[in-house]
Amino acid sequence: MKKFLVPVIVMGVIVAGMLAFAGGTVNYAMLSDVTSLNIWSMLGPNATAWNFYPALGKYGSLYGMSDLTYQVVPSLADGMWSPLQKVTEDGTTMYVTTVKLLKGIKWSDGTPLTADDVVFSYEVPFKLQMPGNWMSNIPPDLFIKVVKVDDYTVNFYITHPSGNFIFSILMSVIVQKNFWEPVYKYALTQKDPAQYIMSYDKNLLSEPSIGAFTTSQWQKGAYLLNSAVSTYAFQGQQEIEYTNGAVQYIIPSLNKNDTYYGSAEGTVLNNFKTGPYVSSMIYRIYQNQTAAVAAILKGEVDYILNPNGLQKGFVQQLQSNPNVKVIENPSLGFQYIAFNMRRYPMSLKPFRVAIAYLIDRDLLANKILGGNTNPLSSLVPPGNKFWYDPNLKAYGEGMSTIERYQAAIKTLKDAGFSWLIEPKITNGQLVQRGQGLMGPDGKLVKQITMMAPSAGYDPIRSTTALWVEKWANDIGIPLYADLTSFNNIVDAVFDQNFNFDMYILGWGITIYPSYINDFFSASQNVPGGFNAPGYDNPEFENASKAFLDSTDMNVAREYAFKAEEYLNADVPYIVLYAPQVTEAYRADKISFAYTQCLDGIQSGYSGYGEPTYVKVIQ
Amino acid sequence: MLKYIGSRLIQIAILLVIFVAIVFFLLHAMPGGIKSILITNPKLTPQAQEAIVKAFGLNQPLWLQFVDYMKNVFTLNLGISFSYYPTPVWNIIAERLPRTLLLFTVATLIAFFVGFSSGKSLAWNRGKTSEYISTVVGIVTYTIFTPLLIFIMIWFFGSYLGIFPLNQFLSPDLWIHTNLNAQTVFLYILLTMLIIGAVMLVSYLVALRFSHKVGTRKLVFYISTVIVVLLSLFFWWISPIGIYGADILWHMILPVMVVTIISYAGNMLVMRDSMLETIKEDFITTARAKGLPDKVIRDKHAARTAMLPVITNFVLSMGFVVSGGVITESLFSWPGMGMTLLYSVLAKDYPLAAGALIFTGIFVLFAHLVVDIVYAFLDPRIRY
Repeated sequence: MKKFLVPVIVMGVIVAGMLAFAGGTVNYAMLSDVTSLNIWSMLGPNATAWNFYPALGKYGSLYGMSDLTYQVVPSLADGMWSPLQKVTEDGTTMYVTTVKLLKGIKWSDGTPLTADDVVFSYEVPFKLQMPGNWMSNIPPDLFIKVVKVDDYTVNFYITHPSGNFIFSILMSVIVQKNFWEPVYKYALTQKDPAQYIMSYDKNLLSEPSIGAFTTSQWQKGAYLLNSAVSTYAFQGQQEIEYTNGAVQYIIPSLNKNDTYYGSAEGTVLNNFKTGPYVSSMIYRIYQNQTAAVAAILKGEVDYILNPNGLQKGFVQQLQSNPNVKVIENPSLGFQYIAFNMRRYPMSLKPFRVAIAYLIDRDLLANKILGGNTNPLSSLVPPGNKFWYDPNLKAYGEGMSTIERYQAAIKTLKDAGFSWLIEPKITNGQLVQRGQGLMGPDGKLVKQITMMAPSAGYDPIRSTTALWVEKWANDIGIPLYADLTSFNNIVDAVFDQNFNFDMYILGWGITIYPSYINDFFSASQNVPGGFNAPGYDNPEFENASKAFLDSTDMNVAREYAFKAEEYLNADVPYIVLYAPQVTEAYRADKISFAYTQCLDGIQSGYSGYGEPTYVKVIQ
Repeated sequence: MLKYIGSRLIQIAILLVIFVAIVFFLLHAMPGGIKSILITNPKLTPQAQEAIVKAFGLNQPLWLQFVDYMKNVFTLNLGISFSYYPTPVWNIIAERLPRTLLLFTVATLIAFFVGFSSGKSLAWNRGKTSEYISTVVGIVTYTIFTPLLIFIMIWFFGSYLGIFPLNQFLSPDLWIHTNLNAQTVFLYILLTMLIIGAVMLVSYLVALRFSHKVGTRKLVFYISTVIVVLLSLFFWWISPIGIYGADILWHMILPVMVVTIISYAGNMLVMRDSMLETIKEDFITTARAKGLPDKVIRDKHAARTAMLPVITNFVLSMGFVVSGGVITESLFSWPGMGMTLLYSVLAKDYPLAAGALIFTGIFVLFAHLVVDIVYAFLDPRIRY
């Protein structure tokens, strides 16, 4: 026994030493400079990931999302909002809900967070009609007002019940009234108050923070320094996620212990303890990935922040250093093929279904593209666990290439399509390619152009386009893959009033899938709108609207699934992949609470690089 | 002369109007527009996108935007940047310009002097092995793929030897302990360079005015140069910002080396060819016949005549200094005017892209004017 005891103790001491984290500085690389530290501008026209990475963490919101399970949980609020009540004021019918604020939360200047801060944070962007994300966070067609009830209670008034109320309004940022009120008052005397307040750049480094860090130095073009806030109220908070879906928050500094979405029992899925564990974070600005990769290899930086992740070409180089850990996660987004349903033959559902049958995304992703992307067949990626519908099946799922050809040919034939030379399959081989596809009207189908980004911009989508062209041509569909610049595609689709047949692009998306409505709603089927396919299905509209209007997320999910079923059947889009986000960090210098998450560590859902969880290994 | 300068200024003004118009329409002819940036954010509803487009003033017809823009440019208002909204373009240029000026002025000056001196020596020592080796090396460095050279330099000096920083223009670990703005340090360094340059010029002119002996002139010039350089170093040494200036200069070494290696050969080869032509001239034979020392013939008679094309090259290069170098700035993470231009075009930031281009255009046009004036002083045959 004794002979084991000594090594065990020694090992224990070594492990304890390795796990002893205390303070220090972490260095993150960014590939672009921050353009503004002004929150009004940052969430307005300057809404870039680069601005969010170092600067957004100093602001709070009433509600946020749990780590990894992505459930709506209180942040600065004390518990969940009260059920919406219908009220009538001055002849206007509206809905009201009450939100209580946590007591004991302090800004970094020592002043308490009160209802005045909350009211001010909504009033300014709403009254000044701030552009950009402000309009999405506080939608003018939904938000009416927020009223202070007492120092720690506010009432929100909205036009109608909506999920956007939870995911947009209740998650909008809270700023300190004390700091911004004089600026706002002065702005109101200006010709363009919104522009004045967005361009305000004095003393922004002294703007109080309610987050774990505050930006204390910005050397333009070189780096930003974030320093830990000693008054951060959530330091030491425990977030415990259970397999039954419950999330428990224990906040020692506020003497709080609350559980949401069930009871705190059963197996613990995740247990996170909030920091900050470091005294400062330096965000070093490199102007390209090569420079950032060289810096992480040399040990100048510990982690590279990049919304699109690192290019695949760097992976091997990074893996050559045993201290650098490369991680891959599915991005919160998807790439897709869109049909212009205003044009023939894309207007015919069997034609779109036939193309859908032809596309073997598993073959593409795993064999042809060498596993560099994740095949995806629904608008919601599987990583978004709550909103993902596992029962949704894509056309042709599990079929071989020949079976896909057969299914596509049959679909076209059943719809009245014919060929001058019909494709022929014998003994599991395509022995005769189809030629001269004729529509149900007996006329030849003219060339169909599918625009896709060129290989220089995105080799994955350009390769996909070429394979889709081949498969379509094999059965006689005159599809031509036009590999062109991203700007040309966007210009044709969104600026030239839907001037396209088919195209391949991608979307970055959100956890709450309101985009299901945005991308396919009839109201978006207008020039500049998101409904590029021109999809119009009243049954989908009903399901989609019911989904948006539900504030009970379980009900909302049922409607979202239903809306997705219509889309899956009608095929305005063919969803192809969720791209991968490749990231790298120095495992010998820092550690994160988790590395497997949707959209990578850089994601906003991980707090933009887990600043409250990252630790320096000493 | 004054009449000539006046007419050239009018020509420059007309050219500038044409240039500004071309820049404006070229930028707006790019496909995609600002919408291609906004559309990638599905959180931005069409209404929110429209609000941004309106804030940027892009909801007006193009010709109205053009009229407004021309009006603004000629009242020295370059507008407001889209990607740094609502920061005025002037502020962004003022922030980036000192970084570019410092890096590329130093590199261009070194490249000029190295190229000029080596070209002069090569022509004088024509036919020797050193000429062939230098010419081949010069052609290789002149035509080398710039990113490759930069990667090799970064790998060798930054990673392998570890004696120079990999990139960036300062060390955050040093600067986090001060509230000093790097911009200020850049400006002080530029000011120091300007003072040294001015003292050198004045001492040269004074020496020229008061002595006919070459030796005395050189003595005055070199002594005053050494004094002003030592004084500058002393002031930087005792100054609390000295260490930060040194840090910036330390970060400049690799990029300056790269720019020098790439561009010195151009000057060297032009100087060599020009010198080879000049030394065949009769006045050189006359000078030899008079028994003048080789060094005097080379430096005073041949080189002075042969330097005209190199001076043209140099002054025009100085005009382009304000535009920086996209590749150098990008790979060394040195955010100056070159990167500003690149990113503004990629981000469809028309005001910033146009501002950066116009700024470069003005400098280049004036550089041409300077070349013409300098010619008149250097070459007695030229009269305006």
